[in-house]
Amino acid sequence: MPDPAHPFWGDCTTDGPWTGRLGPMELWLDVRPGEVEIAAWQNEDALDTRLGPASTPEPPHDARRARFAVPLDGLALAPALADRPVVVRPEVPVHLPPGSSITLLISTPLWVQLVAGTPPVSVFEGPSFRPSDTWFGPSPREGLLCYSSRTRARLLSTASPTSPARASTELTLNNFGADTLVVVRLSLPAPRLALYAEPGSAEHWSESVTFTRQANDHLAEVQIQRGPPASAPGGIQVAPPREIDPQNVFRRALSSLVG
Amino acid sequence: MDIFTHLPDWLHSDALFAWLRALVLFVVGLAVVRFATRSAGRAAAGRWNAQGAMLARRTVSVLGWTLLAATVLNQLGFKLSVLMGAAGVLTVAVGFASQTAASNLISGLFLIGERPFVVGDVIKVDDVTGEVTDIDLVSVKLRTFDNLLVRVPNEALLKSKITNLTHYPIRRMDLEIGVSYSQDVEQVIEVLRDTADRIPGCLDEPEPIVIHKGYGDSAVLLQFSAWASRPRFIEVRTRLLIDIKKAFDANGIVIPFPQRTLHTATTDPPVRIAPERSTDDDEGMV
Repeated sequence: MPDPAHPFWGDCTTDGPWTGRLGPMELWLDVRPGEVEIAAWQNEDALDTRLGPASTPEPPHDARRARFAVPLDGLALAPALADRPVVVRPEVPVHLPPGSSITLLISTPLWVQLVAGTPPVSVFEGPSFRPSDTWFGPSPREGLLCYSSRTRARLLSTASPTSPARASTELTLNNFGADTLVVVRLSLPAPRLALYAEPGSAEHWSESVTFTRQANDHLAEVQIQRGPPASAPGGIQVAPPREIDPQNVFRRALSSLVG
Repeated sequence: MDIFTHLPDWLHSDALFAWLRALVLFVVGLAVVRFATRSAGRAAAGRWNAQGAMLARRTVSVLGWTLLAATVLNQLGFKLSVLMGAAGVLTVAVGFASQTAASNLISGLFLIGERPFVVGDVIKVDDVTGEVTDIDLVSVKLRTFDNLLVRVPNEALLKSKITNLTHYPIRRMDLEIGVSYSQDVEQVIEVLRDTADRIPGCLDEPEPIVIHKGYGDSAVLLQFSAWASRPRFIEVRTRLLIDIKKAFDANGIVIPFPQRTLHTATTDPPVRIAPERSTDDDEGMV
């Protein structure tokens, strides 16, 4: 594992079985010529910050297992963001008067990918902590299946460093509407964001996002600030967005972003 | 033998060339119809759903075969106007003779227009539940979960109550749960919510709800309603039922069996009933 600050990530072509822990997730890998066997299991503590070897040398019987016949060149563990939008609630409902803005810090679990080959192709992936499913939309007929974050969005000024198994996102809300915007929950478009990490730091950051409520109450403009966020200016991209969209600015119904 | 006598004449006549032309037309037409059918299916698959693609394929196929048959018959010297007339008369006769089929046909058109389900949906018709594998103008074919093919005539379908189980992306499961009268219902509700919260496939929103349905003969009746995404519905429902039982056991919550409470009477001796006698009468009688 090349970077001491990220002992979990990187090349994993070791002799014999290898185990690792990334917060709530534990991983067991057995690399043999031409094939890889992987087992993953996790506990229920979303805020587990432990890093290092797994608690047991062998995976438990109920671990998720898979075996692949893959080329061993470039076999590595790589981080990624969630494959669906993540719904987050602030610690308390945020009341945003007209003309005001606020920046929240959102923490979402990292996904672990086993990549192989050149260029690297993901052969296995799973969340470091499996968040609950949730529905985000105005009714059970229309909306989107998302993940529900177990952690609350906090004000940027009160935020503390997060777990190495999680990624942080700065999300700014602007209210240009005619009345106060009450934010009970919001949907972070995680699949559209790239992931960054600063050398020497175990923290991961996604690109920053801005939701701007238009004068028209029903629409919101979503802007993704490409590049590392202000909180990690020296960040290097470690995972591209899952959904490639050349547009950094797009419009959505307000109800599909803020609830 | 007449055939062998006339064969040389026939081989030198125009009829042979007409038959050959018809044969060539048929072979070429066959390839064209197949190509057009496949192309229509591919083009429709990119724009419409599976049902639309199937309908497009069939429409192009029927039109193609009709045109090909008409062209080949015309080449062989058949008068198409006579054939069309005969087909019209035949249609009327067949129509009268097959009212059920006609009814199915019209019902099929209504169903295709209304589209209460598409190929691939799971529907429930009366007591049959299955995946729709085929929709045509006469019937709908269902594959049940025990892998049986059920053909439902369109007319019956139009008259029946159809439940589409896969129309919306999320579904609610309603679990009827009875708990003992000695239980703290608020604690039961908390345990139910906590159990749902621990299952990742159980949706956080819309949030699970508990409805107090009243007091039954043997238990306090509750309805626990939770949501799951359509593909994981059965899995989440099963997980929830298993985990609720485990959580109830861990928290000492009892799901009572049907029971009757009998109260036995006291052990006081029964009251003796005897006629009251008048003293005067007794004396008179003496």
